[in-house]
Amino acid sequence: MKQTYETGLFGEDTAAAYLCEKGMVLLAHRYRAKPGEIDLIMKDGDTVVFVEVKTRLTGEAGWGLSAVKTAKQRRIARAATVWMMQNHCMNALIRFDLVEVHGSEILHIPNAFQPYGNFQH
Amino acid sequence: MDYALMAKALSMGVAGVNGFPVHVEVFATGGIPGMEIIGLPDASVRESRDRVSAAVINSGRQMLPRRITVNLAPADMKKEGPSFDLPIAVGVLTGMRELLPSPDYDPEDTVLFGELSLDGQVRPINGALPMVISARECGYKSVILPADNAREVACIEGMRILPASTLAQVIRHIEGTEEIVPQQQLSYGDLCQERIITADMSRIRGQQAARRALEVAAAGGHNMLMIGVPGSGKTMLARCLPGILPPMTLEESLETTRIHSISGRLAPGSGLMVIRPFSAPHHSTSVISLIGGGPNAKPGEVSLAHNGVLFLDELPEFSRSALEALRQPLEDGVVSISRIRRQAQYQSSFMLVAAMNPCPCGYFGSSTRVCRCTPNEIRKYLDRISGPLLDRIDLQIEVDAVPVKEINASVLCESSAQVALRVAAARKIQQERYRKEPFFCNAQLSNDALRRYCTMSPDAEALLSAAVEAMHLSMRAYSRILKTARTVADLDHAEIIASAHVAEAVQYRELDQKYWR
Repeated sequence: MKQTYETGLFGEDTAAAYLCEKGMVLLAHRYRAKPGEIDLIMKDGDTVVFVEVKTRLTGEAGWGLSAVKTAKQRRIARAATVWMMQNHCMNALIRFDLVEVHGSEILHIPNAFQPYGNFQH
Repeated sequence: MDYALMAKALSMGVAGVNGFPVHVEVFATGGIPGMEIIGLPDASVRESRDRVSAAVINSGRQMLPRRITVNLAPADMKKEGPSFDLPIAVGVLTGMRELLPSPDYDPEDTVLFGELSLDGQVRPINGALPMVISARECGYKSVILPADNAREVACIEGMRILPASTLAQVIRHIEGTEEIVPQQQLSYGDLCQERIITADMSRIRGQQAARRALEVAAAGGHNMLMIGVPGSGKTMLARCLPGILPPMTLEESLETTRIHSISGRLAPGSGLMVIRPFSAPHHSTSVISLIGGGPNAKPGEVSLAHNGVLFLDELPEFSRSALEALRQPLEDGVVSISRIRRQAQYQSSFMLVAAMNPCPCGYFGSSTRVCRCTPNEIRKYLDRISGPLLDRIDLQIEVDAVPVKEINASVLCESSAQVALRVAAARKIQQERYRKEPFFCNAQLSNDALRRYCTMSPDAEALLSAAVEAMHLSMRAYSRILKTARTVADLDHAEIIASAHVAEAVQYRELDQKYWR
């Protein structure tokens, strides 16, 4: 278990560094709210980006992303809503990104999902 | 950080055979991304968000993560079908500022409709004609529609019709970078030139009496019943009718094409209908499919046959309720369909042509084979057709099998074109005569109009009263004979009905004496 936790932490740090290098600003790391948690909250221009990071040490790149299913997406979205309420920016432009850290390889998918299905509430 | 934008597009919905304007309002804000469509959409309209987002991406634009609300106003009318895809896509693109309309584009005056495919093509939709007609009535000036629907509406004057085949093309048009070339106006007369008649009367061998009866029926718009042994050519005769009926006027064609358009019976890329419709439902048809109905009050076969022919083959095999339901449209030329959610009126003025065998085995009264039915069986079979329905059929003829030597005869019979000329002449006389009346052909003569327009020579009158006496005919049968005699006289270009005309008309009435007594 300890091993998994550290793997996750390593991945998130790598991802944060990668995104900052791309010009984003880190707002929060491991944000926890009652309905769920968000790995990274970044700011890309005037858009708030909620990032879910998946770290894989084995297998092929890309499969980690498929682990983010509908239920997980909803948890992230609910947590994002709580964060927006706390920060008084309910109508901000927001986006949900996925990052897979696979050794030295990093896969970044901007606007990876619409939390309630494809453009559905 | 806050973000909120509005955009609008104009479209059309369909209720019954009429269109109504639908305002597509799009509101794009920040917040959790997604798209919601409100304003009483049905399932196919709600699915449109998936088609729209795919089509937008495949047209080289981005689907930005925005919280989008699409409202289809007025919100109390039901919206059906995929035709809102195009206006929703344009509204959403404008709302996201992915599309910046040029100042020449007026979103309040350009009607948009069309279905989108995932790759961004604009696909044809049902009901284009009623939508464009209503758009013109509402005073809108231009319409962007699927290229495959352009010919259907090309006859409508006073509208700028812009056929689009891809969403990208529509985007470029609205941005003003590349205008869509407007559809050229087609005149209805030009369309009529292209009419092709598939069933020609020259292919019918023999059957002189039946051919004549068909001509009389076409000339006066009379309903007709053919009784005959199997394989005697009843169906073939009936199929020739649209070819000898006079061509539809523009108004008639608009009425008929409208109904076919909302029912999705028009082939993509076809124009206004120039040949009268020929509708031949199978005898297993239900009342609803015949008359119209269902939760959305869709038109039935009687309305699809509007201004044309409704052909019922094997008449006694139709369910009793289906046949009885025909009585009202036969009388009024219109059906009112009322459902809890929807009311609609569809025109249904058609010529009823029916065919049947004389008995269950089919050979009663045949000159070639022996019938093996009992009198009781025959009676039961014929009784499936009620008196009131039979009363509404002016012409009844017997069609017997054609002798072999006539089949092999190489003489070509008269073609449909030749017969059509005589029919058209007779119709013209009627139109001229009834120009001040609410009807236009002999079959629609009312009783008092009958007295005014059907003057008989003295010997014709004597013949008719003798026939009525000898055949024990009712008053209704009398007026039916008179109407038919009027048509026969019109084919003869005679103003006064002579005894020969009456004699022929009486002949078309003899069968109910022979079979139904």
